[in-house]
Amino acid sequence: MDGMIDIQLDSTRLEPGAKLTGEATVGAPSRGADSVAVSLLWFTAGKGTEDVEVVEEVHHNMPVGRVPIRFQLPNFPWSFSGTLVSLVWAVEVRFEPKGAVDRVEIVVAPGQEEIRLDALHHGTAPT
Amino acid sequence: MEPLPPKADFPTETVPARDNPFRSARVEALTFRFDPSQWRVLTDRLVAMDHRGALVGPKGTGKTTLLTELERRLEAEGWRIVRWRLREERKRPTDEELIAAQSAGPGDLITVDGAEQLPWLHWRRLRRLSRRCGGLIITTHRPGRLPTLHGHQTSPELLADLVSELLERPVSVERIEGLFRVHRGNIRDCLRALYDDCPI
Repeated sequence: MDGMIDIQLDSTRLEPGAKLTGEATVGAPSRGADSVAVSLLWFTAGKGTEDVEVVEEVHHNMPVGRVPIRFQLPNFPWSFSGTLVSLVWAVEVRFEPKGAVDRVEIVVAPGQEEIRLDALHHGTAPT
Repeated sequence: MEPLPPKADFPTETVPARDNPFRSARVEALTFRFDPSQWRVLTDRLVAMDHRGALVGPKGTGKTTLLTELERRLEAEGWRIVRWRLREERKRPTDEELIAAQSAGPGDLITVDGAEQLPWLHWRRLRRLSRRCGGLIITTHRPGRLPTLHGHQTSPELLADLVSELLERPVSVERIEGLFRVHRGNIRDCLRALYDDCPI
């Protein structure tokens, strides 16, 4: 576990506005780290430049063992995917100022299903 | 314009943008294809040039990728890097970039990506500023502004290597050579075209 981080979330599919809970198991960092940052963020992925928005971040002074993860999700934006761009939510835990990182992607959307823009375009989106 | 080469070797099922193997985050994460001996030649040459030189080549040939990797290596050696990132939409440095260059000293290296964008008077001013610091490394499309540290060239073999890494499997030689020809050796444009060949 030296220098390792492992995220376990209670659910990776959530409704907008829901509470996200879980924990990260944090091993002793090898060197250069003095705290752990837990972030709730979303990013875009696709053909263009990636945008990243850190919605909330919590810092813990160098814990070793278990770090709780608790966030209140905002109502927007929702997880979606098209051919050109996707919006992906994630929880990230990392040593600061440098060291190991673990990231778990989650879905935040009504019905806990990523919105598919191609399905909307072809009129086959779930109602 | 020459017709596009036939699509082949790509999945026909739908591919969301986040799973497209040619999405920008993956392309930008590709490393410059230099082996250790080539890195040694480049860094020895940079020292011999008193850390003042240009990475020269057409668009999409890896100048920014090499500069970024070089910056990382120089920082590991203890240099502080003052970065200017210029492009067609912004031909001059930001106020923050300018202030950082004005306060640069002997332990600092100024790096300018897209130096051909910089108007001549600004270039002269930067040259003056750079005399006080440890060096000046630029990327540019054409030789002339500084002695050439490295001249960039691409090849179908390089494109095939990069595509194989992104796709995790090889692609036909005909497809690679066709893309390379259509996009005139611009690797970035080739990879963007391949993004479109993974449709939803």
